[in-house]
Amino acid sequence: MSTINLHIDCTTPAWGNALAASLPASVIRVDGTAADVILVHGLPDWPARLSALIGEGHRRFILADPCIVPVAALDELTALAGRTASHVVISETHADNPAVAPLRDLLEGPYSAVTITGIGTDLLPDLALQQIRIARTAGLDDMAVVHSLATPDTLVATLDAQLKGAPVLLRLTIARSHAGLAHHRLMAQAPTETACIEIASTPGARPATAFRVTAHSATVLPMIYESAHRSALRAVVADPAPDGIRNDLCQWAQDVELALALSTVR
Amino acid sequence: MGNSTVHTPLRVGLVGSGMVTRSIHLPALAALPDLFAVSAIWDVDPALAAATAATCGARATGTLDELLEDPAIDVVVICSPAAFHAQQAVAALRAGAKAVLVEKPLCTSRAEAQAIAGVAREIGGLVLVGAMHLFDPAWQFMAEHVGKQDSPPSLVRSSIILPPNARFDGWASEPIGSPAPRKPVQRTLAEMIRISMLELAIHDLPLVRRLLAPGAQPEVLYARRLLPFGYMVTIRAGTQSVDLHAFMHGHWRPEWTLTATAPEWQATAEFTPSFVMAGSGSAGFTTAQGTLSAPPAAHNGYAGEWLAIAAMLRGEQPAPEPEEIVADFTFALSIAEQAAALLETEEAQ
Repeated sequence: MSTINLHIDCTTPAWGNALAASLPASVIRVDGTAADVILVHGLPDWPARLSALIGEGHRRFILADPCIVPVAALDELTALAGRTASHVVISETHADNPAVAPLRDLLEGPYSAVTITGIGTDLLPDLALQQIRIARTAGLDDMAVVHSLATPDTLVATLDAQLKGAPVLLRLTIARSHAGLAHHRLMAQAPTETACIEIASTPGARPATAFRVTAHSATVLPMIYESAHRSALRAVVADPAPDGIRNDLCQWAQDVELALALSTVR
Repeated sequence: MGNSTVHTPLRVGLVGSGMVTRSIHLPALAALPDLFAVSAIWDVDPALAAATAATCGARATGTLDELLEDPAIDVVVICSPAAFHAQQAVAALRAGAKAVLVEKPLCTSRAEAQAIAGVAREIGGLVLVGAMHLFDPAWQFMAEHVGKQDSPPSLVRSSIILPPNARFDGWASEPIGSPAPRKPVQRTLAEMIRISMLELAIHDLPLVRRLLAPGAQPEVLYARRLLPFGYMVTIRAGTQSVDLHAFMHGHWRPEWTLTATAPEWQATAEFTPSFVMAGSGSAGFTTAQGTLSAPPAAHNGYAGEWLAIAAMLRGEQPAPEPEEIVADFTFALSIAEQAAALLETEEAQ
């Protein structure tokens, strides 16, 4: 079994410690200098911290739930990561929930519409980014804004997108609220099929619930009691010496631009 | 010794004996025999009227006037195509009906709506629209809790995801006779979205209106028809946003929800499908502290509207003001017209 030396950046909450502790045979907690991989929590100063760590010579990172930051800082960091061949894996609570990929693999389509509804207390652009990233992991791409109505607390937006090689309308609906458990729910609608996944906005192991309905049956996907971040950490453990350089920052930055465009109040 | 009042069942006359009469009103009325008795049915198809009347011990009248002028009829239900609603509702009121239940949409124009309201005010008759979700216990729970809050919701979402009507109609009733096949009609996208608003979204638009600030005027900013049948419509009403979504697919799973969300609370109702007497929807009101919930009640909005009619005619419940009926209709019509105009502009480009 391969092992990695993991350093958890000091700003990572206690869940980071629990995460490492849940992989006692394959993850060895170390100080910064001896680390193969550094787990960085995406608090607002994450570009500066990541830049500093790259400056110290580190090259492999898991960046957990990065919040939206100014584009200039992002551009600088992306360029730095590129120049230094740094390997940056972004792990996001919603988009990287381990139940999303299995649902994506079940989708057949073609779909008329995909709706994502969500509620949470994060700022509107961050909530919009969460939904865009869920959509991307679920297989949607080429997302382009058709219309957006944003207020400080709500978003109703429509985008053109592609899913399984066919055009589809993507509808994002968000309300900022303290009511109940923050979550996002994606529903893909086709004439003969509906697929749905609901993902809680907690970094822990609360499982997503997912199902797919066809004319005569319903498939409920197994509940996976593993967080996105543990799943990402295990993937890194499983591939301790990756061949290529993975830098998730580029696509993430494009999605940030889209989220900011959608959530601008006019 | 108690003093109980036994009420004679109110006599009901049904105008139109199509699917709504057969699948919705006849079963709903049959479940309330102490309150209602179906007395007469009229339809442009005399054979269909006769066959339908025979199923419920009613008589089929030869003309509409014969039904409306029957002094024994207390409640008239207008289940004809919308183009006839105004004329028939006015005629029923003037003929002396104590209550007129008009299936949605109320009519086809603001002028018609005002005409109905004008006659109702003049004569003092009760007019109700068959927006059954207004009488669903799930909505009533939702409205009660939303009404206690300091401010209205920032976002209202109506989502109607259903199989085709035939699936539920098949469980609610069965065809009577051999209805004439409907000829397919070619419609533009704009016409289709207008119809979508006035025949599908209209189930929940009266509820949406009540979740908006008083006097809020809807501004439709975006509208798109979904294939094979559905829509996405974005509405701004002052500082509030409305998301209307519907999709009719070909499989079995329904999901019909109305959600109102504010920074500190969220109210939701999930309704049962149309036609079937599956009880009310369920509802919840959630804050950061927890959720209050209302499980399904035995009766749904169809029974609810009939129970309300009986209570209103007994003076036990206030009747809606004609202005409210008009306001509900013009709210829906405004949305329909704006959505259609957006699609007309898009088609022209």
